[in-house]
Amino acid sequence: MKLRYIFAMVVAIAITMPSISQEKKKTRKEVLSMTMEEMSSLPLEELMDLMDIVGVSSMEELYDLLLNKDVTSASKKKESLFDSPLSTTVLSHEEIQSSGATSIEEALRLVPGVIVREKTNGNYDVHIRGLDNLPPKNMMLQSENTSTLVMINGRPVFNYAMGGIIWESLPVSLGDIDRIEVVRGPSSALYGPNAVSGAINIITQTIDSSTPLLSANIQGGNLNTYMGDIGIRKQLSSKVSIGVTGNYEVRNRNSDELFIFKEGAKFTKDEFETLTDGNGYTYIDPNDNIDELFPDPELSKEKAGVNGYLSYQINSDAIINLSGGYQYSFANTTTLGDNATSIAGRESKTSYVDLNANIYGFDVQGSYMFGFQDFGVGNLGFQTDMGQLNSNIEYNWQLKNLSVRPGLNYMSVFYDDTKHIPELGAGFFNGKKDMNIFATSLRLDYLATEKLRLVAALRAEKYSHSDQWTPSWQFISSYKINDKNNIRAVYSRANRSPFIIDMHSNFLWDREGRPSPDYIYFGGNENMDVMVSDLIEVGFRTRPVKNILLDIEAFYSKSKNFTVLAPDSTNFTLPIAMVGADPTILAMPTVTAYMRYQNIELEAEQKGITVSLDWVISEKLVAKSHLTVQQTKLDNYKPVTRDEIIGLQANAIYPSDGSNGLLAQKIYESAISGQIPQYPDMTSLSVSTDLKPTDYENDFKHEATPSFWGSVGVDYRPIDKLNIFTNAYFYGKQTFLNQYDTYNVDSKVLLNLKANYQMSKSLSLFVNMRNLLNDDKNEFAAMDNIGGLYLTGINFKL
Amino acid sequence: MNKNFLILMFLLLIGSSGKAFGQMTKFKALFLYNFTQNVEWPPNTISSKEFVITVIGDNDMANELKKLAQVKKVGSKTMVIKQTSQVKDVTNSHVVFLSSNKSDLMSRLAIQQDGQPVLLISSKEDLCKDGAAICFTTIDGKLRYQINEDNIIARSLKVNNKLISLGISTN
Repeated sequence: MKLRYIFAMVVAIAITMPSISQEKKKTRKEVLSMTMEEMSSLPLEELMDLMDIVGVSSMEELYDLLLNKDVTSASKKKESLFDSPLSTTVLSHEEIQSSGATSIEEALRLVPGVIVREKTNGNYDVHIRGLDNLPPKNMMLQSENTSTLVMINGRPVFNYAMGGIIWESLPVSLGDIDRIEVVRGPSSALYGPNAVSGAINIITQTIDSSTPLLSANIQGGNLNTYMGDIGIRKQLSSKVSIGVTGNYEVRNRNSDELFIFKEGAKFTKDEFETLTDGNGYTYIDPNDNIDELFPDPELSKEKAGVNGYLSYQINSDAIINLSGGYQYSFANTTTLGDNATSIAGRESKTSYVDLNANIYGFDVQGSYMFGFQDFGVGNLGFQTDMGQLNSNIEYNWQLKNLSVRPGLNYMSVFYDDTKHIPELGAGFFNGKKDMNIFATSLRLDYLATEKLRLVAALRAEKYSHSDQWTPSWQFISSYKINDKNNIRAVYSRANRSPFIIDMHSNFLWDREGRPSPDYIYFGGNENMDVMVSDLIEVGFRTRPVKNILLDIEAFYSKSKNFTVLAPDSTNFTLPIAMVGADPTILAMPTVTAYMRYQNIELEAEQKGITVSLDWVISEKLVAKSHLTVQQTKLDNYKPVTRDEIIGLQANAIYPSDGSNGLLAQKIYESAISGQIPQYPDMTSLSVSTDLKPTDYENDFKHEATPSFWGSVGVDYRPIDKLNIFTNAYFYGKQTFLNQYDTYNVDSKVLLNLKANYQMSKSLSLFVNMRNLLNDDKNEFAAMDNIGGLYLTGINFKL
Repeated sequence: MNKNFLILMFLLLIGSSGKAFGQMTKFKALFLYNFTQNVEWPPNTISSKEFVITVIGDNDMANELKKLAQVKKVGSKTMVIKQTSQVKDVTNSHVVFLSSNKSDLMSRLAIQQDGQPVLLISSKEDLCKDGAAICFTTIDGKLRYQINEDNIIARSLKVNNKLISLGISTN
């Protein structure tokens, strides 16, 4: 009886307790109706409770999220984006998720000044402000972006073998990222070589008490496109946090056909295998195996990565972050070699470990990346093992209004093809080749007055192959007219490092069964000047009203010391004997073209303007847009291809019109000097020339980069649970010149839309349409006509 | 007709509840007032009758504090709210509030107020390393504050444990 009574009491209490507590808890409306006096009498903890009820999901929060962002990459310390002395953009995780971008490269379309063109499904060309495909009329390799330094948490993920970024080999995916910071303009003084047009720093998430334990994002759609990432993150204590993430992505091309440069058309793999030119030579190198070159020509991209993160906060002045991971990737995208097709496969299997610490004002970073990279699948010589060590130490010293930041940096990178070639001579490097770079830097940041800020960043690189120091610098002054207007001026210089292939290429290409020449030798050159770019930039950032941020940057740059693999000389070697009184050639000459990496006189001059506008129209609607207009002109430009130079040299030795050339002259001189023996004895006669075209063009309008591009988009939240993001990314027409042809690429508008519905606090469903109007015009010369990508997926957080 | 319809649609599209607008500043002002209840200034400093709060670069915050000053005192002292746009104009204050727009001036403010018994509060997070005692921040849509006890004690102020425990310590 008593038990029943107690049970009834407990049940009654249990039922009534929630309603009692609910009665005590005020509603949002009630809180909003409270007077200032009432609230000011409350103790702090109750006041905090009231604030939690009201929440800050208001315009102010949007201001903070979109207009009051912080950035660390421009000054190597956290500062308000509005005060950043450089042209800087921060893309937050939320913005990227909301936009529906399916990759890091595609997300960069949201960044002012960045031109992003899709080559095959999910594989992109990314250039900051353009300046791409220099010099023109060359190999596709020259279209790779070799002048932007991409980093993950400050760790360079740059392809030092050939230059450029192997985007698909980044071990992280969008799920790992907290934000992407982009600094436009020469930034070698901050980050070292290759930050010529700018730097992109991908910053992964920090793990704190508010981080979801489990997060996942999975989506799939047409073109066999599936991608997903999952993360488990946990703050174990106030000092220690850990996380493990994984990602996988697979995409097909919209076709399995291959574009053949010399035909200017697409063919199937089987057709390509037997396709011949007018002289009956197959386009495919007889030494290559079609199935090894294109094991799956329909596959566009496949990548997977795992990453681990460990953070240990020793005290408020010391924190250590350790991360490591592994990635596998394959992509069919623009060839890095000298292929008949515009597409080739590349593969990476790499691991990394990265230790990053901030200890009592010292920023210390050490990282090592190692593994296997194949820059031309199925093409002997492109397979190489690699290792890259980066170490960096900087100290931030605050002297009243002057911040002094000295630093030391050491980098060592090697590529070794020994294990992947049957014999020395069959590879590009033919052994282990390395490059070491030592650098010292100093950054001075002086707040002269409350409005005037002066920055000088200086850095000098010592490349292992050179006795000279290579300087780079940034001189910046910014003047904060008032809280709403900030003006800045920048003068900077940056340099591009030599690449391993530039310095150590050592490859003799036996072209048996192919058109003349019989051999082409590719030689490296350690004595080249590094490419440098000088920039003058003026920027104006304004917030005329609280909800609008407008940024305008006008830039002028001049770049020189470009390097290129170009014909050095051509040689004819032939057996010859005197038959009676006549010198007689006994066999067809062996023709060898000697190609060498070399500086060219080309100078590129670019001027342009970028405008970006972020506008928080209301709590429900945010508009973001940017536009870049630019013009690039070339001076000292030689509009000739490799084959044309070799042809010029061959014609000088053995003129096709039957006139006497260098060969005839040499035979005559050798004959009268008695150097040619009587048959059956014979001698080998060798004739070379390094004749080059002498015609230059100045003021050549370089149109590989569109004259304009940009994005207009809105983020609309009609109800709390529904978010619709739509934007149009657009660019003007381009003219791309390579060694085979001139390719006109039409202007294009890509309309994207993502609608996300929040089913519950932890689950949301979305549809994601990229290029929803299915415009299949190719975005990059000689590459795919991709069309729309329609995906649906879920996002989960627990 | 169509034009009017479009305007109507646009207004509906961008229609904002507006109710929460301004709440952040109001609550920051309330928090700031509450901080003064949990911090002790050395006796006979600055002014015996007035409690001076200087706001740098934030008119909305200054206005909210002025509303509070009409109905509240700090102990027996009348709250006086001063406004300025420049660090160099800050004098004789018990509290200085630095707006987000001026966050680049925190280290300059800390140097200018070196040795003074003043509570430096920033509207923007993560400025304790530059000398702020308290920095407002938002976490998951909730207003919170970072607090650095060392920066408070270094200015001869005393802070009670409740204020520290409710905040996010950066010591």
